[in-house]
Amino acid sequence: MRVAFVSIIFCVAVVATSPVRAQPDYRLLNQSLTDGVVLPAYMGMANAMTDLVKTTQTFCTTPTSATLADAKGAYRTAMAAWQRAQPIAIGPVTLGGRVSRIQFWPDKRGTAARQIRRALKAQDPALVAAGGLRGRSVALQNLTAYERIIFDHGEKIASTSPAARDRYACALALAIARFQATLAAQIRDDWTKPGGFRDKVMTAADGNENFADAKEASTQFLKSLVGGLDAVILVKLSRPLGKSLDGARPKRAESWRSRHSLDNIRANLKTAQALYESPGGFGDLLTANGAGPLDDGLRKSFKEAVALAQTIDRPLYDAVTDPVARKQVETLREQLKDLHLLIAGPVASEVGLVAGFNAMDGD
Amino acid sequence: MRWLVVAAALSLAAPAQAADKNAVLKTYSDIALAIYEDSLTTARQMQTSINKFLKQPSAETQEAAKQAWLAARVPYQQSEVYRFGNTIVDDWEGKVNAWPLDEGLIDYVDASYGKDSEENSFYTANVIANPVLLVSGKKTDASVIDAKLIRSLHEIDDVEANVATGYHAVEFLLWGQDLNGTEPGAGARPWTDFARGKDCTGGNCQRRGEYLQAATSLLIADLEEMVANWKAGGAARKALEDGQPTQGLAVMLKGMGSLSYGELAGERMKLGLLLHDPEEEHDCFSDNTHNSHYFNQVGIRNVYLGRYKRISGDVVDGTSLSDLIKAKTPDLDTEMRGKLEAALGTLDVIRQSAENGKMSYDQMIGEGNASGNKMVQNAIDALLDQTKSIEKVIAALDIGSLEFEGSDSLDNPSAVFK
Repeated sequence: MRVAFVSIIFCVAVVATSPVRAQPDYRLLNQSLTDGVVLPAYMGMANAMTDLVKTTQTFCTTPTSATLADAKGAYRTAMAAWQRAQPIAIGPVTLGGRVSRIQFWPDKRGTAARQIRRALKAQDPALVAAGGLRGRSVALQNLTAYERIIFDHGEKIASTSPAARDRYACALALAIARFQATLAAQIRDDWTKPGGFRDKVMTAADGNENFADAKEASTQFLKSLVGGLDAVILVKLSRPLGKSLDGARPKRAESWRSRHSLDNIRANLKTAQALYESPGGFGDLLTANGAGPLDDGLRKSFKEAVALAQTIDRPLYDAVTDPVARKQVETLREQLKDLHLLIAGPVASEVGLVAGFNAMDGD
Repeated sequence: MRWLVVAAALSLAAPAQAADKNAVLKTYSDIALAIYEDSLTTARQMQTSINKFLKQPSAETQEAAKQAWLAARVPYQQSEVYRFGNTIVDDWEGKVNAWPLDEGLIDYVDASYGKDSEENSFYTANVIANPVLLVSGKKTDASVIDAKLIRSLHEIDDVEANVATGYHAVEFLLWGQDLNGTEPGAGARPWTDFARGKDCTGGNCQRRGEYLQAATSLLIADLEEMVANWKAGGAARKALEDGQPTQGLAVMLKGMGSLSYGELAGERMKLGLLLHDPEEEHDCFSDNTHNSHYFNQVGIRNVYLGRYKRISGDVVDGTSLSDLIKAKTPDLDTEMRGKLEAALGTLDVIRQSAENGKMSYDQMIGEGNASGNKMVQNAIDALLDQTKSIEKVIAALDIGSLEFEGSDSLDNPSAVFK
């Protein structure tokens, strides 16, 4: 991961030397991506989290193998909904550590694992009481903690004679679901309420406390696109792949307990593709700027990446240690690297934006 | 490709400006040399103190060794801004300053550390106690603790937390685990962990001393290598001299922005605040994180202002990025300087608080500590704010967007769309 980043160079932006071009329509791009990509993602997420609460409640009240299966299913739906929203790096989700509160991963140091273990052992009633997770470590609030409890302890909870400890684990899972439902609704409302973030984006051209101009908002959409691809390549694929077949690390895959890693990546790619291809989005800006062939190439490249992600026929957890499936995963990663570098480079330049730094820059 | 042609045309058309850029790069390299020389000097002083400690173990000699470690961190933390962007530094850095570490690889640990880890099969390998390591059915001969052995254990199994060498390995051996949680206090390893004969605590005192010596001499060898890289004709300096001047500026700014945003604000500060976990601090054994963060920011400022104050008090300075920006857009230079000072100010609040014994960094990130959390959050916000200005500087210098060197898509876009 480090190696990929150190060999970067910068190249001179074309835009600075191309005064003949019309100013790209950033306002249209912002509106299109807000209404076409961002809002549907957060609405979907809020709904999925509400379902997660209901299903978890049923499971904790009547723990059976059937209600456990429902809880696992609701978790997968909730995670998929979040993964649709995950690349979006603009607005309310960027505040107050919300991204980590929704999903804390990777846990390189095992800090989150240790904190959850301790919490399950300590069984502090205050933690699972109403609002008890507020102000706590993200390790205890986020969806990965939910997954750990339901997928590692679910069978024990569902057994006919549940021990007190298992009841506590279920109560914590329910508290997490509730925390997530509240948070997802807040993020949705922070966008949609009058004077909310949607309004800020729409009025960016006039300048407001969030944006100096429309271009600044468009830059954040570009960062979302670039950073989203970056995360898939560096964290979601390269870490579990390791350097070779022998160095594969299945448990470094995201959501490995629910075997949902590839579904997460597919959801991320759908959103990245939508950020690029939405009417008035980056692709249309390119074509409007006379870079039609580059746009055609990118659309084709996105389509191929989505298809490649689809052809891998087993969970990432198993694919990284399978010689054949592993090749497919590596091919997908190469395809995404090309996409990433084209978007951060020529695409950004053509539409007059600089991707700049994102959270992946660093160690 | 068109943008490469444009780059070439720009550099031909503006020789005067290119000369300024070269002067900026020279200052940048000169400062790097001075910083790594200072890091080496202070590491050698640390070695002297450690040798005294091992020769005559006592609370006093241990304390002197600790003080020498703390002094060695001052120049080194200022060097970190050179990591991102300079391939040679980044490839080397992991040996010297890797963090965080699963310290159970090296020595005995408290029961609260746990016995195993999902990510790391060497989590409790304990080299000091085990002449033969038996991990996942594989045997490793560790009978002799020397530079070769600990080098081979570093990042073993491809696990980054297996830190066997560098500053933090030495730190752990001098201080031990900090078991105070988010309460006051650093690691409190007894000096008797290095005592001879029946005074020895923690077992294997002889091997512990050998480990400390090996890690220290390896650190010095690594720093010597990096000093050479920045001397006239050295690889790191040459890479900048041989490249396009604009590319060199990009390296400088990439280093500033990546350290400011992803690394310091993100990985080192925000994560700790979100997890409220005392072990999520950079110098967790010595409780020196406040200084470590502070001097990172001093390093970022050094690069922009083209000015470094050596440990001797001498100043290395020259034509700077600031000069370049001031000539182009004076307002942006004022803004950038202001942001650098503001960020340093927020980190100084943290530093003062910790140095004065009011509140240490691991306490600041503790759960429910609103005022402490706020101090850390203020610094994170200032660093993010500073990064935005760095991005403006990048735009003002026409450096444009990030690219991968020698990539297919730059050299031959049709290859990507086959």
